[in-house]
Formats: sequence, structure tokens, C-alpha cells
Amino acid sequence: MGDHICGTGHGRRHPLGRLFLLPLLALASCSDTTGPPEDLNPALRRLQVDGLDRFLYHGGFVAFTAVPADLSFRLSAHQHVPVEIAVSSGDVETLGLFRETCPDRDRGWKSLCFGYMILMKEGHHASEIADHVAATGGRMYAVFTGRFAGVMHFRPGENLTRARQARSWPGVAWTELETPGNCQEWAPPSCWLEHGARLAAPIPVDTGPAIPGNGILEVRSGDTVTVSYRQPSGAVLHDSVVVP
Amino acid sequence: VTARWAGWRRVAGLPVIAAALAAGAGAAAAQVCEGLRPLEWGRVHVAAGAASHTYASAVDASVTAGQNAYMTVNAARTHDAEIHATAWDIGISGGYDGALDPRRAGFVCPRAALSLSLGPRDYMLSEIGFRRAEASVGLGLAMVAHVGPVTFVPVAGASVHRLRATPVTDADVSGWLDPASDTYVVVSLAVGVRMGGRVTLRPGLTVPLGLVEAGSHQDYVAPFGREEAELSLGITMAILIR
Repeated sequence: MGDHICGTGHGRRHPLGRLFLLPLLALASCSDTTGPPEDLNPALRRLQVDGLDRFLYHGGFVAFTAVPADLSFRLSAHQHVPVEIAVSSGDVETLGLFRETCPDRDRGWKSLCFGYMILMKEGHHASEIADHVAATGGRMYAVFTGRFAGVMHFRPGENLTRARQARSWPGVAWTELETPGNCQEWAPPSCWLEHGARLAAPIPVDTGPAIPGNGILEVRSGDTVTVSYRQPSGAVLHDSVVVP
Repeated sequence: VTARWAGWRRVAGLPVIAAALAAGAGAAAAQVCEGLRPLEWGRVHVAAGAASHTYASAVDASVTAGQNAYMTVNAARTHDAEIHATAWDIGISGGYDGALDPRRAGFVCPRAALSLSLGPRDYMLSEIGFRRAEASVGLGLAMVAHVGPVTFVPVAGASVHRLRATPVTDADVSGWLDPASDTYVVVSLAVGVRMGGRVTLRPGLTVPLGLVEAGSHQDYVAPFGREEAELSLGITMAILIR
């Protein structure tokens, strides 16, 4: 259960760049992402706290989504759009919004880039794999009937790896990637037009005193969580949610 | 039915032209149009290669035997690391190299191939996999140039491929994920380089054209790991065994 992630997205590679990699390709068929993601500042038409992925309790998470003004806009796997998240009790975090659907290509099926579903075998409970989920940096949520649960991961590009890895955990019957609510994998291109442009990212949530910049949103009941984004024009887009 | 036959007519037309050209050509020297040393200098060619596509990489190995005409058996693995998907191919192909002039400096070569591709399985954790069967016919051209101790064999080729993709799953997917066929073309350019010995290095590129549109409902009806009009670079090393 190592942390090495093989096959994170790189986007299109230049053919000449690939030529120099050829000798290596015969020996290894994956490589690591290098360097931090590139920051982009596109005009957005919408920015919001996700209506479904909103688990504002200790050990939970909250997701944010955005829609670019230009629906033909596409982020590559190694680009993100930074937004600021502020909690009224003091925490402030910067979160990079990535593509909502992966992989970043036109051909083939798509899934949400963050999170997957897991079904336990008969007689097993999702709580049995809580340690595995935590050890891989994920958070479990929405446990139904004890056997069915969602698992959220926070690092881009590793979702498929994590979902595949979870199939080897004891008691797990299967795992499945998620698709946007109104698009199945085989949906027509029109269904994917907006989803191809959409941006999203989740951030872990804990309760407790604010620790700004630690990548976890520390909240207290009654707090207001506000996500904001400065448009290229200078205008600020924002949305808020109150912690129950 | 009409579309199917139209596709096969496109496949069948090229070898007829190629065969006619080769029939009018002179002495044969198999595998020159592959950029390799003529098989008349040995018994078999053993080759291994790697190629890099836009999103996937491929490795392959092959054994070729023959004289004027030749037959190749090959196996290949295409891997897309980002989506953890792998397809395994096995294939058989054959060809005939006809010299265009008595000095054997130019060649024309009709060739044909059959292949079966298994995978990827459990595509995107969907528990659905794919099987692809393919037939192709094509035409190759080669020139042989000696520059000091080095022989260069620039080659160009085009082949028409008829591919049938079949979803493999225990689930009932009829109606939205059916077996389907498509015809496309692959254009290739390469240069075989050898320095007198039995080893040939052949860098080259291939470009598929006419693939089913990416993002369309049936975009799985395409060779796994390939994208429309992408420049895929590869290199092959072949050893002639006497």
C-alpha cells in the first residue's frame, strides 16, 4: 500500500519529447507527475459550494465546483484554478480547482476526478475499511445500509489508482468510479460539454481551532464557509454555506 | 449491410493495386519495405520495438521468416498508464517485396495482416472490457541508399484497416454498447539504418486517419491507445538470424 501513484495525468505530450522517452518506455510504462500544477485565472460564470458533497463535520469534507464562462475551456490534468476558502472562525485555505471529470481527453469514458463508491461483501461493514481509507489519505462518507459508502480523495490524478487499490482490501466486493449525476459513462457528447469544462475540488473538514494553510478546513458549528475567486476583470465571485 | 460492404471494398482495393504493381516488379527481397535487411541474407528476423502514442505506450516483438514472400508473427502490449488500461495483441501478417529496378534500389510491397486485441479489461472499473479483431491490407515503398558503410532504407506505407470492436462483459449492454465496425487508414514513415551487420535500427512514425470521432457514442470502435491523426513515434531493433 505504497504512496507511489503510477499513471497520474500528464495531458498531451509533445511528439519530440516522447522520442527521447522511447528507450524508457520499453522498461517502464508509467512516470511521476513533476512540479506543482500551473495556476490559471479564467473567467468563471459560476462558483459554488457543492450541494451534495457537503459533509461539514469532523472527518468530513466539502467540495467546491465552478463553471468557466467559456464552456469550451478545458483544464489539462496539470493545471488548476486557485480559489480562497475562508471560515468565519478564522481558517483560510487556498484550494486548487481541477477538472471535474477525468481523464482529460475526448476519447473514452469519463468519471469524476475525485472520489469513488465502495460496496462491501455480504456480512461486512464499511467501517472495517476505515483504517485503509485513512491510511491512503481518503475520507469515507455517506455509508448506506452498512455496506455501501463513498470514499473521497483529495489529491488530483490518483482517484482511479485508489479505487482499484481498494478492491484488494478485505471485505470489499467492488468499487466504482462516480459520474456526474446526469451523465453515465456512455452518455452522448452533449451531456459532457459542460462537465468537460467544469472545475471541482474537495477539501477535508475537521472541527477545532483554525490552522490556516494546513490544507484542512477547521470549522465550528454556526461558522460561515465562503469560497471566493477573483475574476480576470477584478470582480469577485463567491458563495457561502453555514456549518450546521 | 451496405456500409459494411463499402468498408470491405475500401480494404480490398489497395492489395489489388499493390499486387498488380508487385507482379510487374523484378527480383524480390523480403522485408526491405519494412526498412530491414533482405531476408535472403538469413533465415529469420527477430525484432522488438517500442512506440509512444499521445496517451499510451506500446511494445512489441515479432519473428519473421520467408524469402521472396514473408510471414510475421507478432505480439504487442499497449498500455495507458493514466487509466490503468492494457491491451494485448497477437497478429499475423505477410507481404511480398518486389524490386522496381534491376539494381534493387527501389521496392514496392503489398502486405496484409490479421490481428486480435484483447483488453483493456474492466475499463475504468466498469467491469466492461473490449475485444478487437482487425484485418488490414496495405502498400509499402522503399528505397535503398548506401552511404559509406551505412545503408539507409527509407520506407513509406499506407494501409487500410477494418476493425470490429466487441464489448466483453457479463452485463446486458445490448442497445447502448453493441459490437461495431469501422474502417480507417494508417500512414507510416520510417528509416531503416544498418551498418553492415545483422542489426537494423528503424525509427519511424505512424499516423492513424479516419478513426471514429472521439467523444462519440461508439468511440471505442478504434484501436486501443490511438488517437485521430496523432503522430506516434517508435523505434524497432531487428536482428537477422542466419
